[in-house]
Amino acid sequence: MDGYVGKILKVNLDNGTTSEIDTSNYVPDYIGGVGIAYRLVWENMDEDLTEFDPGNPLVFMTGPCSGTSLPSTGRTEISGLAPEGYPEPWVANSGFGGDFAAKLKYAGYDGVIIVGKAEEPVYLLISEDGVEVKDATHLWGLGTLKAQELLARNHSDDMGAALIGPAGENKVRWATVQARTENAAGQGGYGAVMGSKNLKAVVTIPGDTEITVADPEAVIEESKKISEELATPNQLEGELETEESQWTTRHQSCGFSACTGGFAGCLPVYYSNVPRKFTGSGTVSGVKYCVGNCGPWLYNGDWGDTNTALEVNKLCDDLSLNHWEAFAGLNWFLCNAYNEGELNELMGEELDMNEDAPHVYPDTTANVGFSKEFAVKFLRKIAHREGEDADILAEGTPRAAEEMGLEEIAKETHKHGYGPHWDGRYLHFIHYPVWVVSALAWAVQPRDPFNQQHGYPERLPSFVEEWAGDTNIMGTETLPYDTVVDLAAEVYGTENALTGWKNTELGYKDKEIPEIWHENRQLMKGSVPACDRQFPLIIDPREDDNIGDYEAELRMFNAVVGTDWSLEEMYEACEKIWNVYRSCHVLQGRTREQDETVIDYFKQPSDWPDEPQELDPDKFRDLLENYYEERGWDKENGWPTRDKLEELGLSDVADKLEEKGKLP
Amino acid sequence: MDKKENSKLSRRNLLKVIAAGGAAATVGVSGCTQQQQGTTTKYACPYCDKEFESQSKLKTHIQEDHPQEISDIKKSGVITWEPEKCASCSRCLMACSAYHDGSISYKISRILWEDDDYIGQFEFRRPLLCQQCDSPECFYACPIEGAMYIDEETGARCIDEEKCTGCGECVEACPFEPTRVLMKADGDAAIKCDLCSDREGGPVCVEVCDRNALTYVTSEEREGGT
Ligand code: SF4
Repeated sequence: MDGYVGKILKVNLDNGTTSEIDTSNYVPDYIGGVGIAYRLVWENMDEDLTEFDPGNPLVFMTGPCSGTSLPSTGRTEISGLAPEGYPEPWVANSGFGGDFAAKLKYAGYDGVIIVGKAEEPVYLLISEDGVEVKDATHLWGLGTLKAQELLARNHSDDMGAALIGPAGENKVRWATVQARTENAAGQGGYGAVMGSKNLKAVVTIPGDTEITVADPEAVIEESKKISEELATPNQLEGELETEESQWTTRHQSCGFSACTGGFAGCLPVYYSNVPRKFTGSGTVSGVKYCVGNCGPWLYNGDWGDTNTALEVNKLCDDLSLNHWEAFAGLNWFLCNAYNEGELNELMGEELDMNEDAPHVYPDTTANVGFSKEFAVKFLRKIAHREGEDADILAEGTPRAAEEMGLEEIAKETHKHGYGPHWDGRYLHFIHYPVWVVSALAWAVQPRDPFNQQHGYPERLPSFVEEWAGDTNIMGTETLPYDTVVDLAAEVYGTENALTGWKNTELGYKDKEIPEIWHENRQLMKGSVPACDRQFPLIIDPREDDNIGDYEAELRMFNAVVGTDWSLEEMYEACEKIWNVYRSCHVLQGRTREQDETVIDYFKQPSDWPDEPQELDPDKFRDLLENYYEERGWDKENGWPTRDKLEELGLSDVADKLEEKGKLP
Repeated sequence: MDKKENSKLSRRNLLKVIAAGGAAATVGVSGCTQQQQGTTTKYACPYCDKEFESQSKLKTHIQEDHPQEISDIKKSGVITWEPEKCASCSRCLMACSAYHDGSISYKISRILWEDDDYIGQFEFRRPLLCQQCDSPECFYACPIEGAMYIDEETGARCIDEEKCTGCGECVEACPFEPTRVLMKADGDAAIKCDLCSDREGGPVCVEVCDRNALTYVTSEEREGGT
């Protein structure tokens, strides 16, 4: 089948053996990316498996469009039991862009699944000459930057690499998997899974493998068309610059920091030759965008000091620490604990934190007030688990809070183990009823859901004039709320997709529909794969009907694979994948009770300007039931039913759940 | 190589340079030149027995004494690349192989890809394009009649994959490092940029580059010095 190169590599590190799985067993049904990854995890897990068991399957998957000229498709998706998950290591996913996916496919594999644990540090070398499990003792302990330098010298500057630094080696539960210099799979703690397997790196050397595409002309046409649609005024402004003060600036950093395959409306600015002033010597590169330069939240809030932001950011990359947890999760927890008088000293230093640090957006000057020097020490010590405090914090916020007796404070910031993200609190201010859908997404998902669902809480509201102003952050013109409500009705297939802001009674009505729509979309873009952030195109004021090209990812898939799927057929595939994903969680003990734990989180007082300001538990429980019903899951536990699973061709999943007593 | 010996060497002499210092180098008459350092080179005229100390002297000689020989090759269009606009996304390469082969791989793209040494950060990755030399040495080097041809409209120096025997003379003759003429993985034929001469809409790489880093300069524009 076009688009896939045909094989998934399976490596057992217990004995160094490798085997191959035919990709054709899984496609086109499971599409690729997260779709295949979740299925592989399901097939390789049982209810007793824990995150640091050698048997925890660590899956790296590409999709059919990876390595093609279609925009933003250079993505790799990781899945497995996630050490960052809480209280259970819920099976989750984390992805990264860049060139690893393309280079894995050019080496002949659509994906890699790794089980077992090596006795000594090793790295995996994948090429058309064979797969080798190689000694990595000389790399162990090195940061990701230096380790890649040695790997590139030994192999090729053209290699693809996904690897860990000290945080991963030391099983820090919020350790990332770093890929080259500007990409990382951040959430989930998959770096710790690599560390637990004594696996330093996966290196892939591109060979002669070609990715055949079913309709080359369509691939070329869609590459152009979709890029144009993704481009927004702010991204098109200005040419790439080559100089900015003392270091090199390059706007729109596709090849360096985002994906192979071309511009996808990426906003990041790539910098090279940034001098290291207090994190070491020499220079580093970095990306200024989103969490890529959010270090100031951890220290003094000085956003004008790009040098320090890039430096601290790169320190995290080098250590393989998750920026989000460092700058927008754990830091807020510590600040809250300090301000409630529960924490005065850390790592042998008396704390002097920011007493005004607001709990809630929109104050972007918020920061916890560490000195820069202490911030650097804090990150380094955690990555190395140096000293008792660092060792505790390495366990991630909720587990550290348990140890410190501060569980209640951790509940202010963390859910399922992950820090706040597009829930209307802390950094992402959103209006009612947008956060109602946010709450539903948080309820039923295993991790912070908005890495792959930016569309509803971030993109859709950015087109509402009353909320975003005349032109939004992308420089695109906005539309009146009432217009966007009508457009949303058309796209989502329910008139209540965005209702509630004016008529608060409607805030919970039919909101399971947009949630399910976006769940389908997150699976679609996670599988095809395409950019988490830019897709789907929901609203586009440049179009006559103001509706965006929300079938773009589908057309990319069809052009490459040669299918002729309709959007409905694509959603059927997504529903199947979602049920496999949920079944993994059910096997791990997920019930409605856990889903409902988000209610407390969304019931906290906030500074939202609209009424109501907090979640109504009764209305929310009704919404949750509507969601289960729409999904074909039982209301008591939120478990997929046999009927639903069989309808989706998943009777094997139903059988296994029944055997474990987890079928309603 | 056998094939080459069997074939009729109808082509005029190759433009040769005698490298005294080891590394052999070929140097174009105009348009595309590559300086080799550390070698004492002599520049031999392909049309007579004379040799020259410098490339410019050879060039002057050819222009003055052999105007007929060089005038029958049409100037080609060329694709230019502006590094300050390029985002190193590699889409141009991918679209190139998608168009020509219906499949995508760096190894079969007519555009090459160069990574800078990785030392803690990336400096640059760049697409390397065929310069469609005024005096195309790949074309001169080909021993098979018709296997390399000059496209009548664009002037592109093209390979007819049907006729090509895969001898590799053109690959070696290309004065650029790395060579812009590639051998297919199966060794059956050489491939190179043909400016998508048969494609409506012109070169596909230029069309898909959303940074406008690539520009197609036609033979007429190039002739006119623009
Ligand atoms: S498509 Fe354009 S921006 Fe991308 S690598 Fe090629 S020349 Fe550079």
